[in-house]
Amino acid sequence: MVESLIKLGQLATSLALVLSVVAVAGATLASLRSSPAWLRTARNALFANLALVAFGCATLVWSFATLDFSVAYVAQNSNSQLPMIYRLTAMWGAHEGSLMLWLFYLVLLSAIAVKVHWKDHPLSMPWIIATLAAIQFGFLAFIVFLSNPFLTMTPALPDGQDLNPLLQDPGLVFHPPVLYLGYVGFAVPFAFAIASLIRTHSGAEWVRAVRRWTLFAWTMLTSGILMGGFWAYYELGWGGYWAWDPVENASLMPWLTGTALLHSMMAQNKRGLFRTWNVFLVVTTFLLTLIGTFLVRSGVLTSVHAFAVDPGRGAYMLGFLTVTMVFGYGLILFRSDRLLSDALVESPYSRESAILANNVLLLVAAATVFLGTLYPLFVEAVSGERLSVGAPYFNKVVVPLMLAVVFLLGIGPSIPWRKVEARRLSTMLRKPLVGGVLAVGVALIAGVRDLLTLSAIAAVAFAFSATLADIGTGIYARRRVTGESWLRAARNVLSLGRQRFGGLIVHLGIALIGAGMIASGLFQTAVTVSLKPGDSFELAGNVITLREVSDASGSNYQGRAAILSVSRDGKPLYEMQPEKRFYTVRSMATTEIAIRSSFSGDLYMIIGEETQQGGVTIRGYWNPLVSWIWAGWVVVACGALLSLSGTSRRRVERAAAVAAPPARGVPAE
Amino acid sequence: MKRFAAALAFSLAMATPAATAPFQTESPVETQVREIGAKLRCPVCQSENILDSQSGTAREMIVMLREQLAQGRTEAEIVEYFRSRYGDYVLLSPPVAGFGGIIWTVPAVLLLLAGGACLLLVRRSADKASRTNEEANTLEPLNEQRLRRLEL
Amino acid sequence: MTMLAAQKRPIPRWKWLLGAAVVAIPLLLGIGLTKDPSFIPSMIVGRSLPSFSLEPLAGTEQVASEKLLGKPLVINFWASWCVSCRDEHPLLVQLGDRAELFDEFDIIGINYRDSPVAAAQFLDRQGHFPYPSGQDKRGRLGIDFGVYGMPETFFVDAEGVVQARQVGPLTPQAIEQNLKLIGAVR
Repeated sequence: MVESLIKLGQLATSLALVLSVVAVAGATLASLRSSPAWLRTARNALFANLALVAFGCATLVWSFATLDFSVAYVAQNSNSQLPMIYRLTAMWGAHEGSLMLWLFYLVLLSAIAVKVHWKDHPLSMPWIIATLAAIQFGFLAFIVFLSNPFLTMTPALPDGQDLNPLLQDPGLVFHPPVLYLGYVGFAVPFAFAIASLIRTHSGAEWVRAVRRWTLFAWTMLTSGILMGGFWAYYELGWGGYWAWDPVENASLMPWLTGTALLHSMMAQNKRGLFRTWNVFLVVTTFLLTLIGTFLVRSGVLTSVHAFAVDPGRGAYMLGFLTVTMVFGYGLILFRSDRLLSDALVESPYSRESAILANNVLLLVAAATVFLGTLYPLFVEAVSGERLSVGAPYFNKVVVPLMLAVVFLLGIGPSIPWRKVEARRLSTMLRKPLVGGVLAVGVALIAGVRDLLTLSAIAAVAFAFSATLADIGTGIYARRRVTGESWLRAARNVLSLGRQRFGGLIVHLGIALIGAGMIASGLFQTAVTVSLKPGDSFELAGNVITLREVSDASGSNYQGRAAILSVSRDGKPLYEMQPEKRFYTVRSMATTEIAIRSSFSGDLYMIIGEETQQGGVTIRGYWNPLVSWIWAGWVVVACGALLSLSGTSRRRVERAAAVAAPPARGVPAE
Repeated sequence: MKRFAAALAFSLAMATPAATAPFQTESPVETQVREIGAKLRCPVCQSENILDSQSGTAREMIVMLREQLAQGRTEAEIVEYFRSRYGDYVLLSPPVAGFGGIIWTVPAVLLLLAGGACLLLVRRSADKASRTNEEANTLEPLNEQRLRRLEL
Repeated sequence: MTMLAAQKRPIPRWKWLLGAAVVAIPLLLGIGLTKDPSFIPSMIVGRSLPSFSLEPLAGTEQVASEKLLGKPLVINFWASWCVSCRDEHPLLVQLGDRAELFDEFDIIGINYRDSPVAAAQFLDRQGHFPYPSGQDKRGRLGIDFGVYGMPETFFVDAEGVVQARQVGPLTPQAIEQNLKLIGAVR
């Protein structure tokens, strides 16, 4: 019965492969012959695929839940001792299942996009459907022929080989699903861009349609990346959250281009500018998500996070990537002349040029990450030599670029479109500049002398105060005009200008994240000591005492824990218990870090080698302001949600045509 | 009895360090160990530095690093020691000489080129805009066509 | 430049660049697919053998480099925890017999980052080498040789210069070719 269930899952997935071909063909025919019947067929095929793939995923999850070790993928990635929650999340714990999750998102978002935009974009719809279905085909063929998670084994193994211990963590429950949603989310803007290129439709209509999709994908990507950092921070145990590992870089590249896209889309939306550029950014962002997948899964680079390697898969993914690239960039090369915008940037002092500067910085950062990640490949291909490009390089090159972006983030939103007088600009910047100077003063008094550190502090403080000032001015102006209370004015301003204020709140969150990253990156204190029971050491004003080293085994691992008590000014505060574990089934060792978070920083303890006299080596870190990064993420998510909840421009226009003009004093969006 | 012993052990553990034992401090070279360790790539791992890696080879390299620092060797000498064994591969920051040099210059060149091009573009575009604005202002204030163009 | 290429030039520069990227990126990734990303070129090839003196795995005589000078030398790093060491094991035993029989070259093993007990068990199971193995318990000699994967085999000529390195299990072809290189085959 169970055996047949998983086979049904495979059948459903194979059927989805066939239907994706039907959808591509149907949509193409629909456009060429302007046949609504074919278009409906194509659409229904996409809807059917959602049901089929969802069913396929369900059979896989069911096999994990019931520990059906006759399914090879289940046997390789779970074990009878594995707790139930990790049995379910083990579905995306390795290559095949995680692709299935990816595919599920793709069919889900395709169906939603088609359903939502069916009426708005009748002429683009065939090409949107064709593009989405073609991407579905690419992933379905990959799964069915090269990465089949439904394969069964006879005889079934008596027990499974267990899930990778690093993945047995609450972080795995959220990080990959959210990150993949971010990646896949860019498929929808990609489909719209391709449709507009094929139709050589020059309008900003597609940009308006995909603004929310892009923002959604960006939010998910941001969240996924930060969750990954969070997970690395407390699971991998090296005191940091970002290592510039190739796989991390692979997720950062689409984030950088996606961020550029979010901003330059505004210029097209409002001013009809940058049309070709936007199409290029959409295509590039989507291609980078594919390149990311390729880098992680093909074994072309070594990475901590890489999946097991199979040469056939690498070749297939490269083929898929190449076809997408030739198609996407090819369309730009041959069609973009008809997409030229006749609008002009009217002044160097304008929102347009701020956006341009933002795009230049982000794109150079993305190009640098791309170059740094692939450079070892290039050098080996050319000369046979091997070199490494790692964290020290990226920190030196990318961090200054990002600081400039953060600085711009403070100015950008307050500059009006078209043109601003230089004098007005300088008045506008006065308040936030004071914020920046104050912060630098404090840092100087605290003894910071490093130029990069000081400029980082200045940039973040400037951006933060500029954004706060922007939000504050909006609320103040409304209050003055309407005479409402502060709270009411704030609520009204936020709900009336959701896009603008959502964006500002996102900026606020980014500044917080920047502050957290700068503080924890540049002011980390570390200490490595060898302790016997009863010994203490000091870290950031805390006295940490080793009480004992004891046994801490669990159902599927053997563990040792150091029990540390932390006190401050003679007052005992709490206990920390860093552990190391040995997972018996996979014979793999991991360390479990003990973290105590507070507003001002994290105390972070790692257990090292045990010494003969019942002692142990402890590596302790004081990571200042790390919690600001996670808090900043929450702020970013809130801002993005606010912005996403905003009514579409068209509806606003319709409403504006009927209702009275909007309240004065609210910055025009 | 057992509970008493536990309580005694606990109070001893809590009391002794504060009262008598001096704090354990790390050896003075540890800061340098962390600094240099973060720049060296573990040769047997997957893009990790030797400080973060759990592998035996990386651990041993840290021990060697410690020993050599204690012997008074400089950072450059130690880095060269590992480089002569594993090549440029162990340097997480590529050397400026040879192939590594390209990658250090490209971002700056890109930034200059892209920034310069955009600056030029904005200048030209702004000039053109002010000219057309003048024309538009003198000839026809805002006709249907121009309005549509701007609103796109 | 990319954004507002409003002039009607024949083919703007950015198009050439984009076209080049479409060709170059898949090409580069394709070449990358054919390479092993963890491969590290040897730095010791062309240099002289580092001197060492290791405790033997069995017996009492130290395995020392100075006793091995003046004759071509094969040095094999192995470990009981290394799976592919089992693949090359029979070849190494043959090679040891050959060294003993024809006296054209010396061969030694280096037991790398291993416990002597596990190593002895491994040899009991797989068959003993007809030549001594030194213990490199902490892997320091391995670092001197630039070892990064198990097994690795080094071929040293009579002058004490390392001429070749084999990463991964030996093959009969690799053995013949490298022995020729160090002048161990007449």
